Amino acid sequence: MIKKIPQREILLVLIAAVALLAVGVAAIMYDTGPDWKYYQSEFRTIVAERVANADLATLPVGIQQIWVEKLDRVDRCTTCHLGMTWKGLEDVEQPWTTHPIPEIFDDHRLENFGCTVCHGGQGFALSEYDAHGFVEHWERPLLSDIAGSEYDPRNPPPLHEIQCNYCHRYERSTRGMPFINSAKEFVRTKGCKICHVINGDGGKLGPDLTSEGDKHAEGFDFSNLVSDQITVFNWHIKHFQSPPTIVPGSIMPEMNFQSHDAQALAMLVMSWRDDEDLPRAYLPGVELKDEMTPEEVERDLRMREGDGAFFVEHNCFVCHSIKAYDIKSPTDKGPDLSLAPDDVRARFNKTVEEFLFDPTGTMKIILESQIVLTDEEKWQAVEKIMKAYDIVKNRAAEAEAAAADGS
Amino acid sequence: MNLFKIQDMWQKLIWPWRPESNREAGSGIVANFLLHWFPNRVSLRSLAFSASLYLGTITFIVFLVLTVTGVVLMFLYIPSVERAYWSIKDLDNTVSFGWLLRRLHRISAHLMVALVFLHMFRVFLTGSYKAGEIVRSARPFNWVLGVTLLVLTLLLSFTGYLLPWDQLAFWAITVGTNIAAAVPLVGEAIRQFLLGGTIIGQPTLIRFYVLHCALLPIVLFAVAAWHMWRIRKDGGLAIVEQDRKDALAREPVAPKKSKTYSVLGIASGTTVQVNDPTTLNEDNSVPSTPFLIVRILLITLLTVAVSIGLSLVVQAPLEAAANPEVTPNPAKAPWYFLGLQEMVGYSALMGGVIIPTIVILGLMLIPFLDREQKGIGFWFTDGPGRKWGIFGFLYGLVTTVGCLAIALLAPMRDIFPTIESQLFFDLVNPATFLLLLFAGMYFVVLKKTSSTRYAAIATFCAFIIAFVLLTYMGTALRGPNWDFYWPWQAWPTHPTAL
Repeated sequence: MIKKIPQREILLVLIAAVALLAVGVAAIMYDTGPDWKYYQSEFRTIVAERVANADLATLPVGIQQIWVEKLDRVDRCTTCHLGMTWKGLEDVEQPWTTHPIPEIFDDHRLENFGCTVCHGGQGFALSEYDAHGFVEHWERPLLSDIAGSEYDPRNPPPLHEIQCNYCHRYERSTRGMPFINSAKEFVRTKGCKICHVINGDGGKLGPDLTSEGDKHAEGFDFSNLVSDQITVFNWHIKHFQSPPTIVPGSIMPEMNFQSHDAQALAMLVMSWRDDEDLPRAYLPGVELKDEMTPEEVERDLRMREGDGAFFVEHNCFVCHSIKAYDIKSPTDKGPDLSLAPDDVRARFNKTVEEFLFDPTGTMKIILESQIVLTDEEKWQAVEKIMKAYDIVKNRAAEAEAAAADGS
Repeated sequence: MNLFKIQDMWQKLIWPWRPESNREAGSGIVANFLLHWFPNRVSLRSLAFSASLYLGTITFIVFLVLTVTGVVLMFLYIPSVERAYWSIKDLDNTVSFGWLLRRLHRISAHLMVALVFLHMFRVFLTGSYKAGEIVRSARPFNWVLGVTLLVLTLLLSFTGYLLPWDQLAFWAITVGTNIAAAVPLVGEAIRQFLLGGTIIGQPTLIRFYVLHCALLPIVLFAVAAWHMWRIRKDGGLAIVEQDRKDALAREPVAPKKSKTYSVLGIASGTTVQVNDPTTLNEDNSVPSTPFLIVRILLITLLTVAVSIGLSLVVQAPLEAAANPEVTPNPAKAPWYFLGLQEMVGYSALMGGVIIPTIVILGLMLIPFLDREQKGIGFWFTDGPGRKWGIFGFLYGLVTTVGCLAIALLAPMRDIFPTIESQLFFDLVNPATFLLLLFAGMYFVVLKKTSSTRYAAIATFCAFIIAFVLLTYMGTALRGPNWDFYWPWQAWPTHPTAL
């Protein structure tokens, strides 16, 4: 005899199977309905309405990402922020709007920088909350006015300048960075470098601040900071306003900074992060060239900025020296331009002016292909060559006179 | 001809055959590998939920879930210190169902550790490690295999803990391996062997990765198979001993030997069934197919549904990327080691080395210390057993709370401010007190009842509550600087950059 399975048991199995199906369906729905799909479909509608002749078929579909290999960054912000580089979407709301400063892309091309290196946030995340990075354990949230208004609701400090100055730290001042620029001015006028090493140079009385921005929140002593905001930024603000209050026994002088000045300085010190991993090309203000002696530097400057700057700028000096302007050609393939009027007349039976507007031989090829001058520039050249000729002639005459006097 | 062959294959695939008799059902099972897993008949007593709560079965299903999710994760995870953290971030944010894979793997891992403990508690409390009087089974040995599986499970969980390479992982493993370094003389060498260096780095990550993904799962699978095979060879769950008693009462003659084969030459002697042909009959048992199969199906469906359900609501945490220069405060080991970490706070040698060694050895020795054979398969054996269980529970509660109170209110170094010897504090501290109190209780109960089983029940119940309380203490009540915080007390605000 075979016993039968109780119906209760079968019912339980069915209930369990339905439960499994239910959680499975819930998981599938959760995974396949992300917010960015909604933002992409809305973008399509907006483009169709606003942009004439837009080819909707070429609009990006699916997860978008900018991989900046040199910065070791993957930013997927453009999955939702689709209009950043578009024209004509300036008055559309986030996340579809054009970048508020579109000209920023001229020297910060999107594919070379991505988004988070300037703005902060979790570039690889795809949900709004995670991507903007106001989540636990993410140290670099989006540096928007929302973050800034925590410190001053009416006039939020432009916190993104912290990120700007990660690269622009060696520049004296930078367009579009008022807070950091004023803080840098304080560093120069208040004599911070008397006591502190900053950017690798300064006094040893206070701590080295070159990598202050890398110091982790755990490394600060917050016990004397009376505030709701236990943050590094706030620590710096309060410390700038009154160093001994935050660090008892500190000998750093109180400079009576206004709150915005203290904020600017706090932003500046937080921007001083180790740039070892940053490719040099991302560091403006850092010159990459061979070492030169002071005499070489002086002569280089004279050549570039003296009376003969025109000929350096237009690369004439590659072949021609110009004695009158103290320009020395590295090759000397052509004759000295100071003597051009005599030389041209002797060889081609032309004036300088005639020769420049109607050259022959090698110069014909060069002036047609390598060094193309406008008429105005040609007149400039003639004028400068004639002036050089006069200088040389005068010098020769003076030398002759001197020689005659001497004899 | 061909049609006949296809039909034949189809028949084999859909397996429409229904057994007409017990004999046919038996042959069917012998002929089929999957069904061979289970015995021909299963006792109604062991099929009952109350006998085992199916904790061992659930543990194995969870292990299978871990294997499946783990294999998929191996395709997506990169075991390098530069990329590991970011591959987890991608799992959470971008990979289709990556979040589910990761959460399911994590929740199942925690469940497996918890279930292994619960299964052990069940096996102990029902006296299922006992050999039985009628047919001497090898259950005591299977208990030892079980303790081995507990250790393997902890090692698997511990090695997996490092892989996300975030601050939580990095510092939990730092704390965990520092506990190992407390072993006298060879501690530092053990730590170096585990880490592949003096600090956690790429050598540690690849060690833990290979252990976690290859070596430990294979060993665990083999031992688990052995563990389950032994259950078959011992005649089923321990409650079957009661069926045997009934059978003996019905037929008080020596059972006839019905089979003669030995156990495939792997184990010595013959299987218990050879000497025990009469235990299971029409009245006290049912065919495994379909009764046990349907039951296992039910348990499997429920386990997987609950695991996925939990994954939908419980997020897998991921802290900042591992940073050897920034120590989170507090730095904590994985939860199942936090009881140890709490005791390590009193003495690294006692809490981190001596007590865990005594616990593991003590667990393994239980079936050899307690050889009484009454009430096998019944929770707490019988009435007095239940009484001693409650006593042990209350005793454990009072003594553990007492020792924790001593640790908090009157630390040994405050009581003996003039003593500087570390050895003194290794020997005199709340963890030692607890150890002595439990050992003392064992012998007092043993003397009073003359029963190793009652003494064991009382001690084990005290151990359970002590384990739970210490773990709770380390997990929930210890805040920054390992200071004590009530559950309703807020921890100091964690500082952030902005």
